[in-house]
Order: sequence, then structure tokens, then C-alpha cells
Amino acid sequence: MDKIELKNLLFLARINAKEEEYPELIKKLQNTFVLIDEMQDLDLSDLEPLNNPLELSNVSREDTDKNRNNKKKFLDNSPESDEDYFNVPKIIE
Amino acid sequence: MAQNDSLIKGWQPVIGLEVHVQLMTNTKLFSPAKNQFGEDANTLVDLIDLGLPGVLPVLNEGAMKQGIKFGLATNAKIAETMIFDRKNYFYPDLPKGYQITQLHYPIVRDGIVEVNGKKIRIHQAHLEEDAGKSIHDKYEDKSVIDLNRSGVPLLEIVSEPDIRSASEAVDYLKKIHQIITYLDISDGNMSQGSMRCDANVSIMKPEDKEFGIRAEIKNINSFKFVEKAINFEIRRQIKILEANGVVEQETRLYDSIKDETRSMRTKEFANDYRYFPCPDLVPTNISKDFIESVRKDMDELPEEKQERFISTYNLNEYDAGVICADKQIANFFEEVVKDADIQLAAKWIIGDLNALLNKHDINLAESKIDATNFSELIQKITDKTISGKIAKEVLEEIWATGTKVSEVIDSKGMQQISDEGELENIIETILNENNDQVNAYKSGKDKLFGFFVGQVMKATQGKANPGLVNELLKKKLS
Repeated sequence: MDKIELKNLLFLARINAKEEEYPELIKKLQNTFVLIDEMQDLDLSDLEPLNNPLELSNVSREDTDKNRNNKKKFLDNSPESDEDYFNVPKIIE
Repeated sequence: MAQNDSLIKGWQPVIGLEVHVQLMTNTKLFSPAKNQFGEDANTLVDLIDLGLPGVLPVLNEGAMKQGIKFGLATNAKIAETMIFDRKNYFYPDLPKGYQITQLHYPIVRDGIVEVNGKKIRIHQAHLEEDAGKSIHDKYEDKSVIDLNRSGVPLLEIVSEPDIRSASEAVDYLKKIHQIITYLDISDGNMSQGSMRCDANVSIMKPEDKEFGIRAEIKNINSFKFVEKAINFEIRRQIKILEANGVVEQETRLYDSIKDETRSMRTKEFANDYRYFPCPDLVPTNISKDFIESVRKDMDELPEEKQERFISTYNLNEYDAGVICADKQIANFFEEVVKDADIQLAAKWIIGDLNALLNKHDINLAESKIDATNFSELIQKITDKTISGKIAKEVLEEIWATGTKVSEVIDSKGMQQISDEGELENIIETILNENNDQVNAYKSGKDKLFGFFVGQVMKATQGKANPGLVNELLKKKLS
């Protein structure tokens, strides 16, 4: 992990860290990588992949409409809106 | 080596399609908000769709059933356990900051569809959420967001790279469209975005062992554009490789106005979606009993319907195939033939009605034609009220206005003339006026028979019963 990789990661996660925090962050992440490397070295060839530590099956619900129109409440709760839409900075990809 | 028709300038295109299909559930994939197109902005939104802290997604059983139906229809493997993952990225129309999708354990794997007798493999089909809609033209300086579509269930159907030409890609897409509309799991409307297609395209030399580097084309929203976009991309890649260049692995956008694809690279570095299993949803087991209950609930598939039409209605394979290509048409046919002659109805649906639908590029539901009225048209031909030629005019009229067939015939005086006496009078007059031709006919110019028929039709504005005209003319001229 170097400064460039860290910057990329911070950008992807939209985390705003100061330049002077970088050494500490790199150190912490590197510790994590050491742990991951240890796990990578383990021979797990005779084990089934564990997809989830909980031995549960997900529940589902019936496909019935319980729509409540909370448009006004939701729009009012947002940082910026007009009578119909959430307003956001202009982003065109 | 067998001749390979799909080569272009000695290059073999290799194509795989990713088709996103919006499922026709009542509610969204993980929230109880209504799933519906065209409602007022932000009225079909739940706390879950907003991604507010503390909310938990609950899987919609209806979406699961529809995914399983697609798997069963394509002879695929249905997962014993499926797992939802988070695909992380930031965009304003995705309030949670991640899309819930399925990466390694999709609901459906290893399907097959048959296209023009060729088997095209489906790698997987997985359930995922749609994003909301960004609108950029309401204000100059900001964008606005409508979250009605946020969380709508999608089935993403990923083919293997088994497709070898742009036209085969279109046929594959039409097959997928046929399957999903037959299963009633989506309306497959490409212009409204309920079916969307991305194409992975590369080219290779026929003797190459490995595929070339592929480009992914996004934003293809009609069957016609699928063909055009892929063909453009093939030509672009040939040009690069023949100039000893290298095709870049990238995402390209199809521009239907300029008919070209162009690079979408706008970021300085590659995005990384940082997939991981969604901690809010534990693995979902799908029992054999559940799958069987879904199977029992499935509608007839295209091939099954075609077989039934051949045996029940005695249609030939071609006619049955054309009629069953579109479920709407097939259902329409069954309504029509309740009261009308089967073979004649088939002929008119396959011929004139299909031609009108194609010409105007709309589907049956969007047209003014209904089964009862169309059935009456066929009955009027069968009982000789109108001739086939007049029937075409009536069809044009009911196509344009939706007026009842009997009213069109009455108001325009289109009834066929089948009265022998009346026809005989007309024929007498014509023969008297054309003595020269009569003599020429009698001295052996048989071809003139058509001339006399034509004159009778002209005199009756096409309303004379053609069979009767032939019969009477023969009698008079012998």
C-alpha cells in the first residue's frame, strides 16, 4: 500500500483524509493485509466455502403492495429539493 | 473447414450479451413500494429505497419466482442457495451507495436458448436492484432525482460469448424477449427501458485459439440499434487491428444519432466496485418443493404453444411458428378462430395484419384492431359478403379508425355482388362493348379471358364475386 493506492481507495470510499493522516492510515491498512496474507496461506482445500457465519436461511415476503406515498415528507427531509424531485449537484457521466 | 458465413473481411466476430429485464412484480425487490412505470416522481418510494440508516431489505418472493421461471424456461440450474452481494459505487440515483446484486451465487446458472437451431448458452441470470433516475435538463446548474425506479427488480441475463454476428445477436435478443413475455415476467418494452442490452464484442482470426480483447457497448435500446451498434463496433475493431493497433478493453456508449460507439472513459483510474456479500441478507435457500410449485404456475412456452397450434388447429409448422412468435398474436389468433375459419384467419394474420404491424412498428395491443372485429372480417370473407380484395380495404379502415367491420362494409357499400342476374347484365354489356376482343378470344386468344374479368371488376369497383364472374364469363364466351 503506497500513497497513490491509498488516495485511490479514499476516493472510491469518498473519505476525506488529510495528507498528514496518510502514514497512520497506511500503517493500519498494512496490518490488515498481514492478517489477510496469513489467511491466504492456510490450506483450506478440504473445506466448503463459508458464505455466511450464520446458519440461517433468508426470509422473504409476499409480493403485495404496501405503498404509502410519503413524497413530501421524504423530499422535505433531504438537503435540497423542489416540489417533485431531490436536487443534487450536476453530475453527468 | 466448413464455410463460415459470419466472417467479415476474414475476421470472426465474437459476441456476448447482457440483457437487463425489469420484472413485472407488484412491489420492489427489497421494499414494499409499488413497482410501476410512469407514475408521478418520487411517489413510489419506501424508507428502504432511500437507504436511510437502520432499514433492512426483505426479499420479494414474487421476484424470486419470476427468476426461477426464467431458469426453468431455459433448462438452467436453479441455485439451491443464492447469495446477494453489494456492488459499491457513488452516484446520486443510488442513495444507499451500493446496489444489491448477485455475483458468485446467482439464482440461475447454465441455461440454454435455441436460436435458429443453434444453442446459445446462458452463463447466468441474477437478481438485482435498478437505480433511480437522474434528470439533467430541468435546471441549468443542478440535476434532479426520481427514486420511483430505485429498487425495482431486474433480472440480468448474461450469455456466454456464443454469438457470432450482429444479426444473430438480434435473434438471440428476440428469443429472450419472447421467453420473458411468454412467462409474463416482463413487458420487454425496450423503448421504456424495461429491457436493456449491453453487448460485449471482440474479433479474432478463425484460426486463433483465444478470443480478442473485447469492448462493452452500453445503452442499446432497440432491436435495430443492437445490430447497428455491434456492426459499427466490429468495423471499428477490424480497422484498428488491420493497422496493427490494439483494441482497448473499455466501455463504449452507442450513439444512435451518429450511429457510432465512443469511449466512456472519463475517470482517471479504473473504478473498483468492492463487491462483498450483503450483510443484511443471509444466504437464501431455494427448496425443490418451492421450485416445483413455481413450475406448476408457469404459462405455456413458445415451443409448447406452437406444438399445440399444429395439433389443435392443424396449422403447418411455419404458420404456427409465425403466429406463436408473439404471445399477443397467438392469443389473438385463438380468440379470432373461435368464430372464424382457422386457415383463412391464419393467412390474414400472418400476411396483412403482420404487414401493418411491421409497417407502423407497433404491437397488437397498441393498435386499434381487436379480435372480435378481426374475426368478423374473416367471417365476411368466408360467407362471401366481401371479396379478398375488398377485405384489404376494410382492414385498412378498421386499422385506421377501429370502426366495426359491418359498419365499414355498410357505409361504403362494399358488399360483394353475388347476384347472378345482376352480374349477367354487367357481363352482357361488357361483351357487347368489346366485340373485337370477344372475336379474338373465340378465335383462340385465351389470354383475353383476364381482360374480361378485369373489365367486370372495374365496372363493379372490385365488388363482383370473382368465382361467380369466372363461371359466368366462361358460360357466356363458350
